[in-house]
Amino acid sequence: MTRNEKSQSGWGSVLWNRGLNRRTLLRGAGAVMGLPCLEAMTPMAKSAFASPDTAEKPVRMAFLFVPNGVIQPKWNCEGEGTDWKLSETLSSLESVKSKINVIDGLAQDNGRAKADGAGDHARAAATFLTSARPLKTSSRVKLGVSVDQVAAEQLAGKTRLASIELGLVGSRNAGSCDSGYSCAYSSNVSWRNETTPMAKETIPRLAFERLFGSGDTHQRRERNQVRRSILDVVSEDAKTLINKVGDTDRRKLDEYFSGVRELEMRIEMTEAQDREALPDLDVPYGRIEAFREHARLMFDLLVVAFQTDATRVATFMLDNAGGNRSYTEIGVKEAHHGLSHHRNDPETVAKIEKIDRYLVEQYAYFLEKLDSVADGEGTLLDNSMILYGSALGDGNRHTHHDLPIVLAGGAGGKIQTGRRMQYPTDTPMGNLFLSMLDVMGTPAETFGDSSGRLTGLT
Amino acid sequence: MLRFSRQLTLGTACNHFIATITLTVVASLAAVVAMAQTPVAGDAVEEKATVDLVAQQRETEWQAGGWKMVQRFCIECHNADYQEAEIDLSPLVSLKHAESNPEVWTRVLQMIRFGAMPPEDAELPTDEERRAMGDAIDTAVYNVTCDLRPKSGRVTARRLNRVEYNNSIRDLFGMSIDLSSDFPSDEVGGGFDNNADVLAMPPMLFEKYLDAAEKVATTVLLDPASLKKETLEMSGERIAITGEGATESFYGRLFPKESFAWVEFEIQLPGVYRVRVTGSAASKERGPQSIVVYDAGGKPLRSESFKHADDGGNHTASFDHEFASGKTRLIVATIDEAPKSIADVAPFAVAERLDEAALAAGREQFEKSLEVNRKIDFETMAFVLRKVIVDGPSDFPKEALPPSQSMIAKRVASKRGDKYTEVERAAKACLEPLLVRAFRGPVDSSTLDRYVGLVVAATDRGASYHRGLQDAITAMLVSPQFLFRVELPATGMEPDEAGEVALSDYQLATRLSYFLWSSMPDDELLRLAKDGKLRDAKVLDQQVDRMLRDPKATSLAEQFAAQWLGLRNLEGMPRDESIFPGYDAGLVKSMAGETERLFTHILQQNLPVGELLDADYTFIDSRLADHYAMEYPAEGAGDDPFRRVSLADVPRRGVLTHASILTLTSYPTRTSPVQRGKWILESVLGTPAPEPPPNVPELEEDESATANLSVREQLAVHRANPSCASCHRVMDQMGFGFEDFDAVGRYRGGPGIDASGELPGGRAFNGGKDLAVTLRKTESSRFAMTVTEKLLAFGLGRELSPADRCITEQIAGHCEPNDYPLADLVKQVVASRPFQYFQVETGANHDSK
Repeated sequence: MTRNEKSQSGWGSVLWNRGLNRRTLLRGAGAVMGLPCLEAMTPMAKSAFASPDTAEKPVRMAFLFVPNGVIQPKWNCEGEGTDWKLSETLSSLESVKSKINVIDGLAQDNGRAKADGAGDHARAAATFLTSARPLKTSSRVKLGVSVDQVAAEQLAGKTRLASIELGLVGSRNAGSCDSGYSCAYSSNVSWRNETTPMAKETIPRLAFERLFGSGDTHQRRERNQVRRSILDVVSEDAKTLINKVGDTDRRKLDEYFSGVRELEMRIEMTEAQDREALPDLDVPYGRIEAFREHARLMFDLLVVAFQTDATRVATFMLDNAGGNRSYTEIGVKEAHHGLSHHRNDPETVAKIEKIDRYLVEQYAYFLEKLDSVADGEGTLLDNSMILYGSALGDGNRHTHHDLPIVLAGGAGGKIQTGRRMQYPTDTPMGNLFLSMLDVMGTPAETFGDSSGRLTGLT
Repeated sequence: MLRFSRQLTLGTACNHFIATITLTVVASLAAVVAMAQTPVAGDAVEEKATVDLVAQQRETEWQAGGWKMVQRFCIECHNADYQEAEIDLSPLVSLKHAESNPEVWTRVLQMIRFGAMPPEDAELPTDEERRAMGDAIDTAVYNVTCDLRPKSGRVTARRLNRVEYNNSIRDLFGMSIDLSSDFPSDEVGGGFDNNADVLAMPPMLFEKYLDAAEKVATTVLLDPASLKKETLEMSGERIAITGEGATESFYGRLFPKESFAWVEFEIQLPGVYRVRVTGSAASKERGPQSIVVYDAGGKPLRSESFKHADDGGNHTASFDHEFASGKTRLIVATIDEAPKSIADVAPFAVAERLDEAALAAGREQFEKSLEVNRKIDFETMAFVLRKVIVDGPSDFPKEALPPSQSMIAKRVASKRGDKYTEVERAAKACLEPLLVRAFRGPVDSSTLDRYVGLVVAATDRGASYHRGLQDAITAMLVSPQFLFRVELPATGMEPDEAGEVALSDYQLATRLSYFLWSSMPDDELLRLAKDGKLRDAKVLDQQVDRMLRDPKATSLAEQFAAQWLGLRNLEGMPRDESIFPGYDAGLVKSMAGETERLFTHILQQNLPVGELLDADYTFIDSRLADHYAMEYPAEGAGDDPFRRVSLADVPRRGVLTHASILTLTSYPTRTSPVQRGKWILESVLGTPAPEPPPNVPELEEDESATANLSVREQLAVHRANPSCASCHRVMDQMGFGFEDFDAVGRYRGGPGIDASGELPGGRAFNGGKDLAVTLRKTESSRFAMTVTEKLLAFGLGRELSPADRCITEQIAGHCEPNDYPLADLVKQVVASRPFQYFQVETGANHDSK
């Protein structure tokens, strides 16, 4: 493709291939996507993006959420330790089997009803990465900081973005989402603090621009300068207000302030970096309707984001809690959540199994892609921790224990992989998070309802 | 179930109802005491005694009546030692518990009235006992919460949601720019996406606000300096000649009297351009030659006499002309005698002389290179045209600028050389009125100075004055004063002893406009606020009338009703194509449109809100007409594609039989009586069904042979289980009523369809229409109450608390005599105390503006 042909394709602002000649054309939905030859990018990535602190070998972490639990008999693997076989649901992970750990026995106790009654789906998403108890309310949300944000906060400033939150479906627009729980609980797994969920980016192009900027270098310097003075003015406005308001309002304005501060920081970062070198990834504008295309495009973005060290922390919800997507492309017409209450009807169970397998296939796609990118002495996957799972065990019965969890990647050799690890039922998921935070170099003393570190992981 | 006081009307405060328990005299006395806004100090002791007496009396009544029944039916499972579902109801022994835990009591009340508790396998109260128990708890809660002066409650600082943001930008600048679709979706709290508590501001959103603000600023105000000027030069082969002609050695284009020359070019930006025509007379002997320049329509623009270029020099005629954007032409033709005035020149006969064929021939020539003729007989030629230059624009006509340009740039700083002068004064004149509107209230001088400072900084760094204004507008749109609605006590407004303070006129204007328009106050509201007139009840009433008549009031349908009724969830409701061919996004939009139109109609005509349930007319577009197999009226009101039709001969009545509601309560492949029943309980009766207990036993354990049963039969099995039965009995019955409509709302009644059922109290029905009419007849009050609660929650932007019930009953009670006209309900919400007052947060420092 010549430059001219390209610009006529109507995508504008395409980032030009610099020294990379091979371009892989990817999939459709009317959109052609050029993905960089990832290996070829690595040297550039090193020169242009790698952390200035060369002694540090960054570890990346991502958390992938799927709703509605799984069919456990089909999920559960056979064997133990290093002598084990992948289950039917997990069979698509065969090519990366030696680089994953299947972790059984974890639970999110705070997801259980206790005195709060119904709302297991909302509680599942809420607890998934926080291990905290969500306040049952449809408005004054209160939960806890999520594991990704614990890491992000400590890593802030090392990468352009402290973290990125992705999803495929926005928040629901009307009604309560689950039994009196605010929709905020169902549609976010990442929480910056007790009261602020991190909204997801669902449009790939916008996610791309957030990660890498829109690519126009000419006016950036002036724009940054103007933006700085604008931020000064509005900070004054906010300060004037904040002196007059009470505690609740102050919290809202604090959110505003952290928005201002984060932006100021990013302006400094972008100025410090070589903005010429942007990843050579074409991302179409607009929404992507088809689930698989959408999901994989987001995974591609994550791979490039990790590869170029644009961020080291990510969350990605393949659907909101209680998600009701119809996976018609694999022949399942009925909605996911409805089906998950299968009452052991064999036909319905079979449909859910199909969905479970299909979702894991997307995970496998991501892992294989990460594994195809050289990074340091191994691959990107070797230097990452990619957790996949649902915060419901049995979707039919709304159980919050025996959660289906896979943790892929060796975290730069800190985690031994290729194992099926069985822990006693009801081992807090927070224990796993504490261990992951240790590996990440962003430790915490406790996390949610954790009772200690997860033994045997590292 | 709802009882509004007819015996007692206690002025502006909350109404009181007298329940089955006889307390009339004492209760009313207590109420008067409690309601008194300014008790005379000397009577305080006496009043205190009366209040105590009443409280004691009530305690006795409760323990002899309501508590006895709670003990009998509830305590066995919910006691201190054995707390089923971790609920202990033993503290209900004293009414004091209700003071601090109204939500527990409300929940118990709901479960009992709903019939969800006690479970079927426990000792069950008779209908009579159930009613009595409900009423006793109801009275207890009501007394406890409503005897105190109802609290207006606190509303947290509210961020504008996506729609409010878009609308505010639209009304601020008079231009529609869709920006918020790049923003993440807003969270929903208490049923609405304008809920202050859940409208969070993650850092990512702030950045999007800044991006959007920059886009707005450059769209609503153009910087003339940034507009591209261009010079179009047409010479040589870019000059076409129609008729005889020739090209001389320096590519001058020659033509005789009978011929003419023309050039074609495209103007990007409309405005005033400088036109320069260079050429000379062809004949040295005949001397000067006059020509006329015409525009594309043949209108003469300029006449000029050109000498012969005997010394090789050319002559140029130049003039200014205003061009519109697009392709255009200039024509150059000779004229025998120089006219005295251009007005004397006849138009050029474009239609005859420059027809399509001539144009095509000329354009063909633009593509070719010219052949130079070195043997021209100049005496046969009249004129040599060498070039036409169009240069500009030097000035812009109004149409080239956005409509908001003159509104914003009221004054422009003058420029001497490269330096602007009096930037501050000009910027102040532009920014002050803008900030007042954007911030919805007066702006102090230090704030104004900060924004003016951005304009000064821009001109200091060498950017234009307009660019500076753009920077200030950008800042204004990301200021917390624009993005948030923060309510602080106005100057001189001290909180009363309950910590409450009345809204200032500006704050009231703001609440009002975001309630009714989902947008900022307009100039009239701001003017009334400035004059301090808005708090006058009569003025306020007139304003609500005016606002509801305004087209912007459709936001109540699109924002309020669409969320209350769940219409927003219609998007993303897949249907199985093989069963429902033709179901698509367009149809879904029409479905929502129907329901929104009916709501708006009832609102603007101030009809009883119950008409939503049984209106025997509706509004359909052609898509819905096909869908309903109805005739689409040939004529309608205005250009709205939705037209009113009668339902007299159709088995449909009200929103419950709208395709919208029927679709959103169905599954992709089939209808769901449970979902439909649940929707009615929630949206119509205001009593959301409790969620199923967490450990619902699996049906097939006892019913393994149910695979081939119909939905109705399966649900019957469902209800045979005691832990399911109590709720599903009510829910499923109502859902069955709409079984004569399929999962996309098409009528399918007739043999083989059983749409019969019965509501509690023996209210039998058959079919959706019948049920809709029954609900209207027997549940109007509850429906009105539901609407009132939803309106108040939406209007306040906060979730209601049990104490707000005193207010909603008062509002609904006020409107009961006229059968709850919808606009009246809206007005009563506006007039209510929670809408006009707010609780000042402790720790707040109130020395503000």
